[in-house]
Amino acid sequence: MKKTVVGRFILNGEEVEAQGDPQMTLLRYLRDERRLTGTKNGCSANHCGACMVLVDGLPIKSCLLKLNQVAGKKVETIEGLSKPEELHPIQAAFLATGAVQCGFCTPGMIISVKALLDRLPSPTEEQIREALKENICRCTGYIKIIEAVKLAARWIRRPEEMRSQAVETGLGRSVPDLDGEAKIRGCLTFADDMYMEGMLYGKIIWSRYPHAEILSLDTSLAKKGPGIQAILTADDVPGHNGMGSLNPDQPVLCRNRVRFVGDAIAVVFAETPAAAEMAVKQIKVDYRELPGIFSPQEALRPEAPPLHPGGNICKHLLHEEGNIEAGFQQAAVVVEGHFETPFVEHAYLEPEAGIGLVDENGILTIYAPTQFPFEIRKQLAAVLSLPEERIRVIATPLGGAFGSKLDNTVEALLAIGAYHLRRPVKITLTREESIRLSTKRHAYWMDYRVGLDSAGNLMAVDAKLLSDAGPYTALSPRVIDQACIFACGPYRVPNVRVEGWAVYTNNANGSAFRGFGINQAAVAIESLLDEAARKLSLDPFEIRMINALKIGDRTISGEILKVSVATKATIQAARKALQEELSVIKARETSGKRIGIGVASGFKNVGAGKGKVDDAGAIFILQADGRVVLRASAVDMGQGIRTVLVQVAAEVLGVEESLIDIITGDTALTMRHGGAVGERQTLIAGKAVELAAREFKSKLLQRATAYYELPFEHLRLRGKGIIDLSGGSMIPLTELAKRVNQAGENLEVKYYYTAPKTYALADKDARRTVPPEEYRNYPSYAYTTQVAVVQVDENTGQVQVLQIIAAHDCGRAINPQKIEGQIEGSCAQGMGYALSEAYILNRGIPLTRTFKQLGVPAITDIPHIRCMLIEDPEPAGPFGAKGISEVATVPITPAILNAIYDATGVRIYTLPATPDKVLAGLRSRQAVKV
Amino acid sequence: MRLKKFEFISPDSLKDVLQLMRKDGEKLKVIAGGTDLLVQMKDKLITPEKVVNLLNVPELSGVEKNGKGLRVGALTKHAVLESAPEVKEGWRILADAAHKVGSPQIRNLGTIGGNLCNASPAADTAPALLVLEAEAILVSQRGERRILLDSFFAGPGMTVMEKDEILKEIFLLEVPANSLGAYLKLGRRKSLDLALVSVAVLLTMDSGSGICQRARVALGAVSPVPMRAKETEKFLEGKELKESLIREAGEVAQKEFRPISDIRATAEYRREMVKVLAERAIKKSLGLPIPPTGI
Repeated sequence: MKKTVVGRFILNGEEVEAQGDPQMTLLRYLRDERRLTGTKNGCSANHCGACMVLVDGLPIKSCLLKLNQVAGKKVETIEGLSKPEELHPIQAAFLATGAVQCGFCTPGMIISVKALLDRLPSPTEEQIREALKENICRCTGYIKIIEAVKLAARWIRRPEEMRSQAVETGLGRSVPDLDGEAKIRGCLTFADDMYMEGMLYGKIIWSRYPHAEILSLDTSLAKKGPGIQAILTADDVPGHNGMGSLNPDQPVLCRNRVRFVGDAIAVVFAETPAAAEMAVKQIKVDYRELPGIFSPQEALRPEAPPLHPGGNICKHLLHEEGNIEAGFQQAAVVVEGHFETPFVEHAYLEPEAGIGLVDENGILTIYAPTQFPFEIRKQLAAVLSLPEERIRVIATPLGGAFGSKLDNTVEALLAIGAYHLRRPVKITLTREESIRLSTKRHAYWMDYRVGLDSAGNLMAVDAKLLSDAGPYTALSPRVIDQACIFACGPYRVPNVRVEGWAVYTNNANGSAFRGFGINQAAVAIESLLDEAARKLSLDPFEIRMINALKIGDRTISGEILKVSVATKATIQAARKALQEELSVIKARETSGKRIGIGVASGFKNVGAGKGKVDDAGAIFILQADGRVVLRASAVDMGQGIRTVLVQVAAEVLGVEESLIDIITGDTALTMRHGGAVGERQTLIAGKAVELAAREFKSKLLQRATAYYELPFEHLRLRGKGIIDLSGGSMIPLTELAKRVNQAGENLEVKYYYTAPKTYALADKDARRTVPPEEYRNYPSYAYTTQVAVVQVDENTGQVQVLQIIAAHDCGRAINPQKIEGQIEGSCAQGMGYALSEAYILNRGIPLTRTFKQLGVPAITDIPHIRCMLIEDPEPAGPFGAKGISEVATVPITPAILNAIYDATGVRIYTLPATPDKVLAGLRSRQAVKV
Repeated sequence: MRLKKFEFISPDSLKDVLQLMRKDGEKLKVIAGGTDLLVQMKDKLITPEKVVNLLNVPELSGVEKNGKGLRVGALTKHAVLESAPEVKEGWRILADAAHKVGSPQIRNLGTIGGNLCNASPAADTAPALLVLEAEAILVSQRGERRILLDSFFAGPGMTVMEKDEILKEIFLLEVPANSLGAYLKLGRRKSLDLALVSVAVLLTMDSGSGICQRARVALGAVSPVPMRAKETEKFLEGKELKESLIREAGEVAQKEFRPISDIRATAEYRREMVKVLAERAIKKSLGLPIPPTGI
């Protein structure tokens, strides 16, 4: 191949001469050759903006930019933005406003902001949105990013304000993310940013068909390629060939049958990515296509071919309470509907990646962005036929996850690679591979019938929920169990019949996604409640107040709620806020555009519950240098749990937050725990940290009492040491640590916390045998009410969300800014679910293959969001706190649908509410009128 | 997924480019900003053996106004088109359309030549150029030829260019006096989206009578190539543009196009939107109020 001189350019102020492959993109050059890994690879297709750099001051995505296109130009990356000892005002503003969550989109976002502010020092909000419209963020909901840009513009004009900015500390305050500085500098090491000496690169051979028999697999030609170290197939899986936390039925590598296009058949490990890709093309797989099943309805037909030995029903459950017939007889109004919701892709910015290796002690170690390191370790032990102690899983920072990095992605392939090759192996999925493999929010088909008496009391709900589990079990049984528990929303319903199915198909793998089955059910129940309110001439807030769960009420699954039930408080807060804003909202009405207001409430479990052990541990160690190490059972995926746990620890201990170093996500260093799931970590890991810290504090003071002969009751931890209130003397922890060390002792506390026992809905025995006052499905619940204001263009059917009001109960706000960030990000995702997002397949073949096609909201789509936090303390949580990270996704989707109805009289039963559906609804209404 | 191996050549004169095209036109693809081509190559939709980079060819760049009209080099970036004073003053509708292309980032890379040669039915600049009756100037070793942009597109992804030809520049005649124009684009979302329907309108009005003397209407994304709506133009010409007439014009436009269904929208919806957007674009040209068309 002819080599063209790539030429010189200026990179972050330094002249560089790039040589070699002229096909190389600037992004690959920056990352692979220069190890400037702050510039991220989110899609390699110009869609996401994570790879944004400045070329001669203009923001350009580097993923498709050839090196020769920058010859002679000035290239600036995030690493060139500021010196190590200082922050650029844009970086400082992102940190101060909480505009950073997972940090994967952040460097590219900051680069775009730099270009904007260089051009327009005081941009309007409109100009900010326009400049950032191709930088996708899936975590923040963009609200705090807009705030950050405004603040940065101000700080650039008035640097003295930035310098005098006080950093918040303490429980209940918006302490900046403790990994935030690394994120805004682009130096937080995500899995794909890791490079190891002698590392091999893995590439996967995917199934070509949604359902087929593998007749033969020929790797002979591919094996001869240069730099090919191994091509592993099902024969190379040492133990059980399957992953999955409930039922390990998803093959690590398929032997003779594939059940969806995300099935892996072989994995190549080679010295370079290019060699691995070449080999992938040379592997020959002969298939015999099998008839596929492309909907759960097809799967349930008697003649349908079974996808698994046990048939096509992954889970079926029926739950009845009261007398459904009697309930409907008492009803004055009955509303019913058939609802359909699509598969949805999580669309985190970081594609799955990881590294596997065998360390010097012979421990097989996996670095990967997993939400659940202990569960992955357990599954890998079976796959490798090794004891769990010989395996270590370290969660790298997660560039967003939202539930999809809970199940195995690349971990098992990395494990067998490292096992056989004894060299570090790396796999990074492309965006297309990530979309093909990763789990999705389940598609649901729901039939609901709801009866209310003339006063608006819910009398009966009959609900059938059918979910598409896809090819393997994953978490589908628990998702449908949860959908059934929450099928009637945060309301009292005396007579209930709820039936749920999860059914195997050859579509996408359905599993966890923020909300975990509740989102789908909320679409149905909240839409029908809206319809019922109209029939009964009740205000949408009023009908929710009438039925709202309160302390002492039973949920439909039979749990008596005892504490921290804030349904009514959220309804009242949302209603009051709407009244305050109503005049402004009305003023926005223009000709041809109709304004509508929609309301919905929701509640969601905090903690995994349903019979699963909700545990976490915390280990405190006083280091020889006087610093405190906290090894906490938690995983941070951008939500900021590491910061929150340090806030809890510092509050209990009394020391300053900066004295504590936290370690999370490492199976070798932390105690086992139930993963970053079910918005449980603040409640469960937070409680473990709180209780461990109490013990640690008392140990520290006891030791000080013993060494220095001071009265225990007069000792307090403050700042970096212990003060004696009676004498006023101060013992720095460095001193105490020295004494501990000299005495040959350790100062360490280990605490393992388990939440009270819970039961699944499917566990019928428990409902009969457990005393009602002890029966519970979950450790706790979070409640919310949201209002959406939309504008509908009656000629085009386009829906624009103008405003969202979100009232949330969080128990106690340990870090208000982080909670707002969770709410705003959830609202953006729930809005995408309502209006634009869907993962579409045609007979098992994905039609949505790129990031752009997923329909994820951009900064230009986001309305103003007003968050209100209600603090109704949860006694089980640390300082009364509970979870918040998922519940906010629940009501926003039906609130938007209800607002569309309010504006147009069109009720959308099939998500997403795209303009063509809204317009078709408007047309058929007009036809009826004529 | 990586790009398939190919040879990358960066000539620095038009002469060298044309020689390469003559010799190897079958096997090569020319590249300018790369915003479309590289994505297609990555998706293996096309796999050229050679890629010829045009960015260093001086003859292909520059925007110049002369006595007769405006010459726009094929390498002109959308960012330049949307902001160049001569374009904004004399050919406003083109500046507006260029502004709707992708994002600022894409507009900093993508070129007008690339946008047209890629021949997407949804190309943003095409309807605007069609109503401006732009000429495409094609060049090869055999010489230059000028064709109306109206006959430049041959189908989705196809143009009438021969294998040895490249698009050198676009030429725009002065817009007649008393002309009013507008470009509207409808997507699923406000950003990161292709047009579902786009409409450009250019109306030349009789200043005294308010009669439309000359009408040019073109649509994108609703036919295999961006196309003029010639029936609609005829319908508008010689008439006073009253509210009811504009509504009828939308219906005329609707009959001229046969859009298709895909995962982004149904044919039925697109057909309906032709009417709505044509009507709104005419109104917008005339300065009549329209609801903010959410793009």
